[in-house]
Amino acid sequence: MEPRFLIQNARRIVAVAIVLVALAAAGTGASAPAQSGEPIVVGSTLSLTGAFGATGVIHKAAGETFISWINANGGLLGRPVEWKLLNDESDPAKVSALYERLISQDEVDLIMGPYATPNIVAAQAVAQRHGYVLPNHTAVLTYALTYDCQFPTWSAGGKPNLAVPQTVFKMLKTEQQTPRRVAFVTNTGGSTNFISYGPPSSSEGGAVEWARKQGLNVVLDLKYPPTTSDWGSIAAQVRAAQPDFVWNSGLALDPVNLIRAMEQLDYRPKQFFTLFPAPGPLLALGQASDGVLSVTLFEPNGKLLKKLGRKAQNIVRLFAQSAASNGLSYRVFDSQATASWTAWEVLAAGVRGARSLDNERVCDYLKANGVDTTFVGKLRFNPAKNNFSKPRNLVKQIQKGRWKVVWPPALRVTKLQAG
Amino acid sequence: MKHSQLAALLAVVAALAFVPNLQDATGFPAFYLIYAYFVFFWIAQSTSWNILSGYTGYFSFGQGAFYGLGVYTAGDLVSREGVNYFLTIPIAGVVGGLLAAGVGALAFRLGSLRGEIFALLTLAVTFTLSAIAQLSTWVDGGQGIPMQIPDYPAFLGEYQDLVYRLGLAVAALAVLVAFMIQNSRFGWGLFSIRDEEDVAEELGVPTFRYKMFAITISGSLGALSGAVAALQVGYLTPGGVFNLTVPLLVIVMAVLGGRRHWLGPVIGALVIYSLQERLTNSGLGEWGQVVLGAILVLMILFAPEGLYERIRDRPRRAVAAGVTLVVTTILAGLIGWGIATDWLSTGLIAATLVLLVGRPPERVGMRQHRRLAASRAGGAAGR
Amino acid sequence: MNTYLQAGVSGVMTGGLYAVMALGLSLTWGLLKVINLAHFALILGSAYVTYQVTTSTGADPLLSGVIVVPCMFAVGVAIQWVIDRFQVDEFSSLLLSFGLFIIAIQLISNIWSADFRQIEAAENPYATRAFFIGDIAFPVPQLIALGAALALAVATYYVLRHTYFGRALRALAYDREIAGAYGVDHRRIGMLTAGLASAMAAVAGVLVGINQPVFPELASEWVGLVFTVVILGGIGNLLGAVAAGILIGLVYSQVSVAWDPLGAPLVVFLLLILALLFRPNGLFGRLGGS
Repeated sequence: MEPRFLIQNARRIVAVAIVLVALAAAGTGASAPAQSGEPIVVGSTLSLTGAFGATGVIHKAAGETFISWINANGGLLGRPVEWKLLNDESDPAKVSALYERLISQDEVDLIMGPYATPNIVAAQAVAQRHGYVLPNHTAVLTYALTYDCQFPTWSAGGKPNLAVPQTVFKMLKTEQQTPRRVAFVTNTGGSTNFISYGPPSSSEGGAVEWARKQGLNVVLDLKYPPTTSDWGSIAAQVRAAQPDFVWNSGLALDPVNLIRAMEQLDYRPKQFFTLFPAPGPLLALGQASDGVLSVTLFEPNGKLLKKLGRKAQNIVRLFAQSAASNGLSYRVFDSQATASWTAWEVLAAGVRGARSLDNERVCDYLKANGVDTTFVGKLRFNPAKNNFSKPRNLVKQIQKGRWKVVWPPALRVTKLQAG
Repeated sequence: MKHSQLAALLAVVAALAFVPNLQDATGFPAFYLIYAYFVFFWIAQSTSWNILSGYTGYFSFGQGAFYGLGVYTAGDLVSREGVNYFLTIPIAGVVGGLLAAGVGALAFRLGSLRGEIFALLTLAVTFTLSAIAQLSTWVDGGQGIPMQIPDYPAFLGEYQDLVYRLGLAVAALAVLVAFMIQNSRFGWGLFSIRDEEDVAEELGVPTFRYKMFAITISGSLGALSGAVAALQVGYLTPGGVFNLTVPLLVIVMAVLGGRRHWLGPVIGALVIYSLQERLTNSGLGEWGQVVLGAILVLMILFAPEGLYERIRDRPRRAVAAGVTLVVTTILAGLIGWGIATDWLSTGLIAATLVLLVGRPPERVGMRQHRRLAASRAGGAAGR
Repeated sequence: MNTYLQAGVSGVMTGGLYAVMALGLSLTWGLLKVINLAHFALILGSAYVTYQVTTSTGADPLLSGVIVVPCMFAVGVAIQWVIDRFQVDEFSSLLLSFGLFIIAIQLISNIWSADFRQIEAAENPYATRAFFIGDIAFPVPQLIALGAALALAVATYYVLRHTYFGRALRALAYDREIAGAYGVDHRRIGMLTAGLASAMAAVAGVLVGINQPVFPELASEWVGLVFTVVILGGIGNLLGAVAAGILIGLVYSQVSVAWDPLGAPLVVFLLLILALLFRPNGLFGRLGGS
């Protein structure tokens, strides 16, 4: 085509192009007329882009694994299950709007919770308004989940701000590795803040207060904002405080950045604990991250997995495949995936138990009976604790480039490595 | 002419106010009320931005500051001090106005800042507020603030109705204010500041006072809209509230809608929001954002003066666009492409295309523009 | 005392990394009147390519620069061509580049997923290393970044002062029409400049790639600080940007130690407001027409 023709008619050509694309968009968005009866539709949103995108993908993979697994095993109430997943772009305002759409426009039968506390709280309001059961997988801010038909599967207990430090320091004491000098380095966002300092306007406190009450010497109490860029200064302060135990209430890449900065200072604390790390990138640090501790709901370590049996092993394998097809680099079925899978199990169990899709009956059933889950044992939803089950905090440690469960004794696969 | 426009505007607002009742009666999904709420929200925010940046020409990157201030004023007063939510809305408006006035005083009096530097100052203010929200536990401190739905009188309807009506009220207020400014001496003064500020000053326009009014009104409206948004967002976090989405999108909407007229931001908000919604959760999945970005690029290249400029003084073009909108929407509905809001989006896209195709309004270069404006102003002075 | 010193050194080094990110943005903004948000996407894209090339071939990460720099140069030229062809003005260029930014980030997410990507320790000899002078550590990735920033800024300064191209560019920035009358082809000079700016983005991207894990949202996190560096340094003034980066890094680190890392951003942004009010042309003066 002659260049001049192109330029003179650029406007029209562009217009036509936009029409074609828009039509394509409109076309592919077509919703098929609802088939009478057949699939059970579960609606939910996930943060597939935006600030929570990296972890949202894990839940997408876990959900897809569950859906294909349940459909291969007889479906739900004899019917296939379909998952209508929308992208909430990590924005709570969009979460509300999308759940409203799923419930009142698309009229889904059931819903599943989104990822991350702000989104779960936003979805909770909509679920409550319409009386839908809201199973959710990643809420740790227990005080904000007040709806009685929301069912959390991250077993935080009522007060994770107390339960997590209790577990960790008990372990250290039992293993005779009680630290003398403890440094706290806290990400002031959301749940990590809560674990370190407890709920706002309350004297309950969190891990920092707990350590002090136990008589431990807290030599450093640093707070950093979620998008910190200068880790060198933080590392310098940690090094200067000479702790033998560093507690990082951190999220995702925080421990990776902190450890790297400390390595640059040629400093490695005796022991390093981090709350909610992205497990893969920590391993990629190699030697530097050996011995790092964290908490988890579950790790597919050989011994543990064997005890749980064939079904669990299959699920772990299937998840790895789903993770691969979703582009994840770390494909291990650990804490996030476990919580996600369990949430789906809770939903399915509720429906089966109530023998109905009626949300009120599902809710009543779950409240009365709890659920026997594949990976985290029996869940009982305690209304006094906002339906959070007894705390389940396994401690895991990086040993020889793999995450291994080291506590509690009943579930560990290997002993805690000394610092 | 102006009176009939005002009457039409009020009639539209009145009609819209009864849509929730319609929803109760016919039972169409309440989701559409939420969808409409978002359109109202963006209309309010981009109109608020335009009153400052479009009318006076002082480009602002700081809409996020007013929005965030409004959101957190509502959130903090309700959760920390137990203030009734509905009371916090006007309080937010006042606080937003105060912040705006403060920024204005600094920028216009102390600094005599223009152009980019003014824009960057507003951006810096936004970052500063965000840092404060992250730091102060009274404001937020990082853990976030869950927003409870307040008690409210039953006649206001269900929650969706309430949010819809609040959003409508603020948007209507913003548009009415913009309309009245545009048709007043004050507005004329603002436009003269935009065209050639020094000349306007010479002509006796009280530029400092007018700019202060404009920014105060803008900040007030932005914060009002933010306070209402707090209810819809549901869970406030510093990162979520102070990110760059609001400041950037309002600029996109107002610019692509047209900055010279109060209708511009309305059109822009409607088109861009529905386009975004269509693309995010259509079947395009991961390519939705790519298409959105591409359309933005194309619109900036081919219609930088905005869509409104293309229908101004061209009633035939406007009618053609309107007809295309209605016809395409109905067609999409008949074929069943997606849900109702998708039909509307398709209609809007088609109408936008009709406006893009064809000769653009006369493009006056910036330099020529200044000379023209100056000679016009000079001519007026001679009268 | 030692802590302040070490933190200061680390801060300055990190500031160097931000300076390197700021160079290209400052260049096109000051001299071409183009506010290029896509610059951040180019940096991120370069970091991803660095990750991919290193992970797939096992080569030294810095060698990825050989591929990325020319690629990004071409991208920069293309963007500038579009801006020129359609006579996009300054604030419209912001919106245009915003559209490009959205496209680029989504493409990155489509190719590599939203998950975190990080060069394995085994293949990244730079991440955890540092040079030591006594007790004080100078982390290697940031040191390279600071060095690169200085080298590029000095080179640009030299080019602007002592070459035809540089003089033509400055003339263009002051008054395009008159420069044109003297035979300066604004199109070619513009495209070359934009290409160089994007090449600088590529350098920044490689350095980011060796320094930390990457994910699509990361680009948005840089905007605030990099804009601050550009503004404080004086828009268009690359040496100023390096100085500003160092200064901001220093302030950040000292506040972090003396008070809390949580308080550091507030101090930096308040300083920015003060600077805008009292030194609107940056602490070190602008280059190019204001």
